Amino acid sequence: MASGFTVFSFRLVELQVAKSDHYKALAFEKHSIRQTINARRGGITDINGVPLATNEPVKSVVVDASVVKNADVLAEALSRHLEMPLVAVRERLNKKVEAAESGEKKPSRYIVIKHEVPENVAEALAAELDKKKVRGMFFEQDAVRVYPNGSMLSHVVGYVNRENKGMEGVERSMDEWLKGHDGFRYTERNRRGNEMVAFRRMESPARDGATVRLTVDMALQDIVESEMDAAMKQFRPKMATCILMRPATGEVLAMANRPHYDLNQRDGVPVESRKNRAIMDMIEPGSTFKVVTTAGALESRLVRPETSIYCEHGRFTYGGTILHDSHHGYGDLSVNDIIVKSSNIGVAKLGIMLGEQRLYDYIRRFGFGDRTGVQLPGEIGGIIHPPSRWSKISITHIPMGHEVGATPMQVVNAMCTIANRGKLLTPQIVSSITDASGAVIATFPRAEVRQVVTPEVAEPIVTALKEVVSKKGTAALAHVPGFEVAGKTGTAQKISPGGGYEHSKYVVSFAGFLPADKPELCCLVLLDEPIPGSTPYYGGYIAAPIFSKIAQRAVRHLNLLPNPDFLKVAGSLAKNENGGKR
Amino acid sequence: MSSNRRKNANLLPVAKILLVAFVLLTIGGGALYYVNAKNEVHRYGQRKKELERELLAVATKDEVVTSRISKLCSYEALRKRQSLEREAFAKLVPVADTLVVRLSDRVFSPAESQLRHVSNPQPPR
Repeated sequence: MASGFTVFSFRLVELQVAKSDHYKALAFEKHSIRQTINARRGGITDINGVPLATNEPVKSVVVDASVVKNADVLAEALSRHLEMPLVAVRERLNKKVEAAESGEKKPSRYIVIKHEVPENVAEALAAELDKKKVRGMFFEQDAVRVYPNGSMLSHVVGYVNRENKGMEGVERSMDEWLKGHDGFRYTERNRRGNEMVAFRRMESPARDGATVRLTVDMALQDIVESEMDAAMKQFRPKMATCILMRPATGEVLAMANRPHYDLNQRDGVPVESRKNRAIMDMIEPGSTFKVVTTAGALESRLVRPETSIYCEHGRFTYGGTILHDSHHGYGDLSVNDIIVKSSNIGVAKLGIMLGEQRLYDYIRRFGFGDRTGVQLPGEIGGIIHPPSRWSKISITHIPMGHEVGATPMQVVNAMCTIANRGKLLTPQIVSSITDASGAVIATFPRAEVRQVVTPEVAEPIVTALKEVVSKKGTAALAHVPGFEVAGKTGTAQKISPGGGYEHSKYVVSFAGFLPADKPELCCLVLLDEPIPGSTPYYGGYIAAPIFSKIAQRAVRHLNLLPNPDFLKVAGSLAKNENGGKR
Repeated sequence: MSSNRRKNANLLPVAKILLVAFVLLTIGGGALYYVNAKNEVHRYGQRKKELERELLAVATKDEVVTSRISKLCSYEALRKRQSLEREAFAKLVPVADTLVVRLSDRVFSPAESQLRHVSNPQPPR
């Protein structure tokens, strides 16, 4: 008996002390389960906190067919509440699985009837089944991503896939901030499968995703979108883009593309509608590019604003080709007037004076050929070939914005550079990131890239651009009552697939800023292949009035104080608009 | 003669018995207390689980309502309402220059402080 007791004691000590860790681990493995605590995806808002992307809780309806006693009642209730055909529901409830040991077919214990069921529908369904004492159905909590503004700002906000991973727009570029980190918890379940809270062990709470605040102002976005819609109705272009920026900081205040799509109804949307053309499309910028060449020529001290250039009376032969001035044939024009009148020949001669390498350098300094760095995915850098790949007439075509591939973002950013008196900034579309408690965890301040041209060079360019928006210039219709506007029109023929240029297809644009002396807004309006009807086919007649309408509404929203001096100017331009040929 | 000659042969060792009883009661009581405490832990665990469920339900309702509010207050919803109920809204009048009254900053003398009709000069009709 003593020896038996000794053996027994020895074994007891061995199990409870010597091998305790081993058996604890075995027990842990057998009984413990790791529960994931799902993190909530962060939201996206505009600069004023207007929600652009939020989460809406939904439920997945799941049935344990092994405990269902009245399948007909259950099927009928499910079919009615979930708006599914009764036959389909019955088919799912009859799903059987093969038992591993016996091979016998048994009712499945986990049948998903439907995902993404709204909370109110789930509540009503649960209440009915509870009343009828029908067992076997349970819910799993889930969430869907909701975009309250539908198609507004769709290309900027983007969307997530079923796994809640950002696919486009800010949802993708800021995915790391938005997704958060799932937590976990080790716990045990009893025989019935219920969690035993007392046995909870290690727990790491979930860290919900951060909120991304954009620089976009939805009120300005609404203005831009409504004017874009009106332009699409009037001119029916293939595509249209409008970008509104604050030049002093590089903040993007609004960005709209057409065609667009509703973020909440993405099935069947063509790829072309999902493209953020502002940063992914490449166009030949046309006459808006003349600002770059002129700035380069002034900065290199080859000319002054008053230097006279002979513009060949509208017909200039160079390298075996003939270059025309589209509006009018001019004799001598000052450098200032080359911009005001948008003379192709004048700017071609400035390009020749600059030379290939210097012209190329200034184009690159203005940011063309490189991505702007805006916090959106898929941005392209455009195309500007090095001088070694230029033909002998490139030196006359590039200065007027042909043989150059630029994105609308690059064009408006270049205009912002002039508005900033020569400073190139990185455009910003994300303003700040805040955590779930509201504390700011990251900001994106103004980012200066370089001083492209000196303020002394930028100033006369601004003077010329002011005159563009006058009776003398090509964009009188861009005027905004009470404000001095500076800007440049662009009317670029489109490249024909067979070579050369199409005679009846254009990309028309207007890029401008106001107030000219202390710019608060810079805006680009661009239409690809508009159908002008009775309107002349120029940027000054199609894009400039759209800019004017947007700017008039935008200055009111921003409470910018008008200057009474420019009301008189606007009055006289308005008379000209009604009575004159323009 | 009886072999048992001790005086206190039939006396019970009360102290020892009491001691043993006390120890057994203590151990038993402790064991019962332990079981009771464990049950309470499980009960509180269940209560904690219920409260977590309630909290989750309230948080979920809050999220649902917040989501609905953001949809109803969105620019998209406002536009749809404006296009459907065009008659019910006051028509927005473009702010023309002739509809804006501008005041200067100059200081008014007492003679000028009487009420006056103020308007912009109207263009000849």
